Amino acid sequence: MSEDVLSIKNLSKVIKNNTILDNLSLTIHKNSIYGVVGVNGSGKSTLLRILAGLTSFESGEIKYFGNGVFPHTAYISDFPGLYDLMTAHEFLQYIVDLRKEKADSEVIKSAIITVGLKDNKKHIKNYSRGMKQRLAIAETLVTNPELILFDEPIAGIDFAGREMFVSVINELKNKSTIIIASHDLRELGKMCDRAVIIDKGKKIVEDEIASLGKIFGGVVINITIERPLEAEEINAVMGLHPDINSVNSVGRTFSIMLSKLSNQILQSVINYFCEKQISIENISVSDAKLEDIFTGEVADL
Amino acid sequence: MITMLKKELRELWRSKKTIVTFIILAVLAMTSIIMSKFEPQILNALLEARGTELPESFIEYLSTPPGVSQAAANFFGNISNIMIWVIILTTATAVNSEYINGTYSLYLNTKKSEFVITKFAARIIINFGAILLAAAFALLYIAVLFESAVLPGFAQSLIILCVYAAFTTAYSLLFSAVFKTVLKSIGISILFCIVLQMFSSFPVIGGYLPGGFAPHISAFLSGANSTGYIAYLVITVALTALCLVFATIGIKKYRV
Repeated sequence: MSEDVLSIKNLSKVIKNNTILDNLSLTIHKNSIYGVVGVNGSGKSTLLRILAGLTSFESGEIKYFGNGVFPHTAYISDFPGLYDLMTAHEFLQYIVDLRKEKADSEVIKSAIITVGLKDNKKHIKNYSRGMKQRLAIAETLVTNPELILFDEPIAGIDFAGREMFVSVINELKNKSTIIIASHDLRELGKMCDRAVIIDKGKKIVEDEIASLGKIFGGVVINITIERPLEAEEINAVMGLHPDINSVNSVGRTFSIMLSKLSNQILQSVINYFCEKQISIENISVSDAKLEDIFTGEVADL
Repeated sequence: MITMLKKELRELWRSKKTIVTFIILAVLAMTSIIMSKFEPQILNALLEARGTELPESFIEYLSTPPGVSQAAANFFGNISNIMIWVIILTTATAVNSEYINGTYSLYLNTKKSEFVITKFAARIIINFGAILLAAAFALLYIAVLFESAVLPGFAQSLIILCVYAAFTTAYSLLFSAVFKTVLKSIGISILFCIVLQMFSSFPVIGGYLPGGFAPHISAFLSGANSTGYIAYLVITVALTALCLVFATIGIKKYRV
């Protein structure tokens, strides 16, 4: 086994007869940024908690970078654990001291400012959720963890915070192995080298981000018509343009998954229904959500 | 470990647990001695006001001036009763609150034994400090009200009380490591304390169990020698250490 690999083999976790992780096997390269994508309840948080040693597992094997020794790890959840009666500076100083690392007051101050907070006497209990998440992210800047596990790190953060998070991840690149669990495909696409999509604890697809780009950059056209589509009509819509990845029909409404949207595609879809004399009641365009992908092409993989 | 200990002490201070513990025990020490001194007068005044006919023995009790050893016994009796509640309430949430708040994930690379020992040590420092302050207040009030500075057996009694406080801290910590909810850990700690008191009333073996500290204190305060005093201390210290070992194991297994 390579020293440069975090290896997960046949990992299974069952809680009260519910299979949370089902024979999951992954290989994560050292100092890479790895995304774990899934809808709520897909098992991504459990996977991260198991890797952090916070949750047990029934069967399988985890080898941390070959030697099996638990590495210096930072686990940051969507509701990060912080000490409410400390200030941001005190908290980061405590983490630095706890991990026997060296970071002087200026480094801590700089980390606080980097994540968009102020180095003042305000206790953490007075912080909003987004501010707490920012502070938890700052923890990775003042220590040097070998493995960083982010569970929905930007769930409660505003747009500016997301930009900050991407820049922090870029700063940590090549220093730590970073695993980010999220349902936000687009955000992960900006940061990760590689990603796995899991559903009901099973690996659906694992690949380089570039290869998954088709999924990450998806757009959906939702159309409601006067009657449900028939099978040959679905196939006909699929064949209208090479950028159409899949068509899913639920009753009178159906979704067309696209790699990218163009007027040409939209026009050809509308023309098709006009020619078939099927009236369109409603039409809308949105970014592809994970749910769209699961009900679309990924479900077929 | 020093880093964690300093953080624990700071948390206890900022959450006002330290100051509350100190104030409760100090006030209790003062009132115990004051009540001992003036109890006959207070009772006499109350009974006279009600016009109650008093039996001979009770009149004799009321006319006997209260002694120093009686005041000290009152102090130890009251402090031990209240101290248990204070310790359980401040300690039985020490570990599981870290799980609930998510801060336990900060200790992924910390030895579990160090985590338990620092929590124990911080609470011992606070509890012993509060007991010693209370004892100082008790001695001061005894000196002022009873004009007596020498108290036989006071130091030995204080040692017994501190060892019992350490044991109470240890089992409260154990239950906070084993049970996931605050309500469960506090409830089981209280239940355990009651069971402990029941076992301590058993003849012969009761005096060697952690809850059986009262006869040893009574013996020392009356100037007699307490048989089994050393055995009591050894057993209680050993059980305290055992609780800490089990708390460490409890944390290791405390994974969902």
